[in-house]
Amino acid sequence: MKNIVLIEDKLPRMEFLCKEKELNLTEIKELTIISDSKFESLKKSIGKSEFNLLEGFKAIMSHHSAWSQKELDSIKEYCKKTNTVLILFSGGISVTHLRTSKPQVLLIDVERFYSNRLILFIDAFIKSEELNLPILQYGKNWKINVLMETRNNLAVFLSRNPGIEVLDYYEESIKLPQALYSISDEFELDLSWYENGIRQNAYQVLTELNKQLTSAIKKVLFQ
Amino acid sequence: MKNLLIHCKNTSLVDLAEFKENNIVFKIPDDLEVDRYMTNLIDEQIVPSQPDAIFIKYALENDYIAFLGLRLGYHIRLYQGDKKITDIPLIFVGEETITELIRLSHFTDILGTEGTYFIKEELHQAKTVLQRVESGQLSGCDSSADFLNRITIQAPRNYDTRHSFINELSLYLWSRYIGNQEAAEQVKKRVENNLYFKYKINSEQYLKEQEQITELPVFEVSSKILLIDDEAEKGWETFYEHLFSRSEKKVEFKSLNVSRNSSTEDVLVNAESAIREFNPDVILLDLRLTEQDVFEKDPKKLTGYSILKKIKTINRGTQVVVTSASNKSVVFRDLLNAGADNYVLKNAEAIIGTSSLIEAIKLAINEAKILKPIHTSLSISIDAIRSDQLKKLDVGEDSDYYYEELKSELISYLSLVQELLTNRNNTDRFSITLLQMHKCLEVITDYYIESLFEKSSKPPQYEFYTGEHAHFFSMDDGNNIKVIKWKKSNHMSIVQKFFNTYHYFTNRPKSSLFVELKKLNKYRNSYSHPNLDRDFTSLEALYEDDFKSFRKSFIRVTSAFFEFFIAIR
Repeated sequence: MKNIVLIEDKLPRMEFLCKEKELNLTEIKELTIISDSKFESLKKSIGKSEFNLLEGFKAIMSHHSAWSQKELDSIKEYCKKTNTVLILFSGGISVTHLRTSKPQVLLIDVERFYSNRLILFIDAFIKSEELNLPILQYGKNWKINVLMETRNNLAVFLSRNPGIEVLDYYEESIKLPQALYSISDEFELDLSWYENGIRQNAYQVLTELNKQLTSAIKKVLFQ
Repeated sequence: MKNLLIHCKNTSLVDLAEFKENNIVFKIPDDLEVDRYMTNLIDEQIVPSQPDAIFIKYALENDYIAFLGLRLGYHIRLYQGDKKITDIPLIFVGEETITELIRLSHFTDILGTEGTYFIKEELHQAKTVLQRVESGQLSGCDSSADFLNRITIQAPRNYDTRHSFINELSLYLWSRYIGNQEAAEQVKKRVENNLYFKYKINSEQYLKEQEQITELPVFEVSSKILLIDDEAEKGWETFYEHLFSRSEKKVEFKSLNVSRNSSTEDVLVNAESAIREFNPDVILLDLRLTEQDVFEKDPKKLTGYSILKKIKTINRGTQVVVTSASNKSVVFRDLLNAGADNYVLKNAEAIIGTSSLIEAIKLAINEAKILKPIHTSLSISIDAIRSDQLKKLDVGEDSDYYYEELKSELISYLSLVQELLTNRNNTDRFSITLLQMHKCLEVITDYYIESLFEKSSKPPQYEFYTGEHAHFFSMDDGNNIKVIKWKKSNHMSIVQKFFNTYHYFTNRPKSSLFVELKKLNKYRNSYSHPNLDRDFTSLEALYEDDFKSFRKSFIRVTSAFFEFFIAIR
C-alpha cells in the first residue's frame, strides 16, 4: 500500500539533518523516498505531465526548489485532482504556512521538516490513517496552537455576541478548529454543548470554555 | 485621523465603523516568502493609506503561534522610508498575555518599546484607544536608536540560510564601505526584504559603518591573486575587482567559477588545474563550496579544506587567505594545521572586516614573493638529495655511510627551513633560515673538502685528491676576484671552503655568488655576536620597514645558496 512519498533532490542535506536529529527514515515502510536517479526519472515524467510514479500516495512531501514553477503548478494540479496533500519544504521559509483550500499545501522550513515532528506525523498517520498536518506544522506545539486559535475565535464570537442566551446548534462562526475535539478530554474542555446547542446562558457557557482554554494554555506553557 | 487594522479575518474590531473601510486582510500568497509579502504590504498598502495608528492582530496566519503580527510590527519599525510610518503607534490585539507571548515567540522585545500598546479582543478597549489616538494622547516611537537598542532579532535559524545571510550581509556592508555600490546593490536586491537584514543594516552599530573608506588601498608589489568562492558571481568577484582597481598594473586578479552543484572531487580537480595554470601568489579561499559542504560539520571534510591541502602540496609558499562566515575556533585551528596562512571572517563589521582583509592580502603578497621561490627551490633540493643526485665521492668502504649521513643532515636542515618559513609567529624565521642554510653549506664543504683531501694519495693539504690545487680567493672592493694557489701553512676559513667547493665542481670563480656567500657567512657570524654586529637582527626589522630591500637582499642570499646546491648535483 502506498502511503506517503518523500521527494528529495538534496540527499546530502537530508542525510545530514537526519543524522543530526537521529531520524531513521529509510526504515519506515510507509514512507517511499525518491531521490537521485529516481528523482531524475520523476522529473522527466512530470515534465511530460505523467504522474504514474505518484499515483496512490496520500501525501507528497517534496523539496520546494527541486521543481520549476511550471512543474510545481503541474504537481499542484495533480494534487487537486486526486485530493492529495502536498507538503513543500525549503531552506528559505521563515514561517510555516498551511493553505487549507484544495489542494492542501503545507510550506515548511527544511529544518523543521526534518525533525522529530516528521516522525510524529508519520506515526500518527500509521495509527489513524489520517494526515494530521498540525503535528507536522507545529510539532510538539501543535496543541498550544489549537488551544490559542480556539480561544481567539471564541473571544471574537463573544465580542460580537455579547450576552447571547441561546446557541441552537453548533455555530459556524465560532470557528472551532477540527483538531480541538481530539484534545478536549486531555484538557477537560467542556464541549458537551457541541451536538445539541446551548439552551440558556450561552454567553456564560462559552465564557467558561474560554477560561478552560486559558487554564489549558497555562498548563501547557507553564507547568 | 485614520486608523488601520491588519488582521486575517480573526477579529471583531473589523465591525467598528472606524475600520470598516480601513482594514487589510493579511494573506500570504503561496509563492511569496513572508518577509517579502510584509515588505510589499507596507509599500503597497500601509504607506499609501497614511494611517495615524495601526492595530495589528498578534496572529495573522493559521500558523497561529508564529504571531506574525509581531513580525509585521518589526517590519514597520525598520521600514526605510516615510518616518511617519516608522514611528507610528502600534496597537497589538489579541487574547494572549505578555507572558504567554514571551514563552512562545522570539519577537516580543517590541512590546517593551515606546509607542507600542496592546489590547484584548474587546470592542470597548479598542474604542478607548481610538479616542486616545483621536485626542493625540497616544504617542509613537520617537527614537529609532532607542528602539534598536531595545530589540534583538536572531539570525535565521536554518544553517544554510544563516550562512548565506552572514555572507550577504558582509558582502553588502563591505562593498558599501569600499564604495562598490554595484555589488552592494546586487546584494540588496536579493535580501532587502529579509527582517534580519533590515535589522542589521538599521542597527545603530551598523549605521556607523555607512562611512566609506577614504581611498582604496594600493597594492604595490606585483602579484597574482585567485578567488575560489562559490559566491564569487553573487558579488565577491566584483567586490575584489573594485578593491584592486587602484592596483590594476600590479595585481592580476582571477576568479574560479565554482558551481554549488558540483561534487567535491570535481571542484578539487578544477581548482588544481586553475592553480597550476595561473600560478597565483595568493589564493582567497572560501571553505564551503558545494552543496555537501553546507551541512558538513567537520572542517576537514569541507571542499575548501581539501583545496587548501592541495595548494600546499603544489607550493607551500603560495599564500592562502581563508575567507569564511564561520567563526568557530575548531575550524580556525584545523585550517592553521592544514597550512592556511590567514583567516578573515566575513561578518557585519565593515571597517574591521575590510581592514583585516586588506592587511591579510598585503601580507600574503609579501610572504608569497619571498616564500614561493624559496619553497620551490627547497622542494627541488630535497627531492634531488633523496634521489641521490648529489655528487658522491669514493672514499673507500665508508663511502655509502658518509653519503647517507650527508643526505640525512641536509634533508633535516632543509625540512626545518620549510617548516620555519611558514611559521610567521617565529620572529627570527628569516635569520634562522639563513643560519640553517649556512649550516648546510658547512656540512657540504666538510663532506667534500675533507673527503677530497683524505682521498689524496699524496696528502699535501692544499691539494685535492684529484691533484687539483686548493685556491685562495681574494676579493677587492669592486668584487673582482683574484684566484691564487693555496699556501700550505694557511688555515682555510669556512668561506674559503665554500668558494673552493664551488670552484672545484664548476671550475669558475663567480664573484656575484661569492659576494652573497660572504654575506651569508656574515649573517651567521652576527648571530654569534649580536651585540657587535646587527646584520642578522636587522634582517627581521628590514622585513617590516622596507620590504622591497629585504626581499632583494634575502632572495639574493638564498638564491646563491641554491645555486651552490645545484653546483654539487
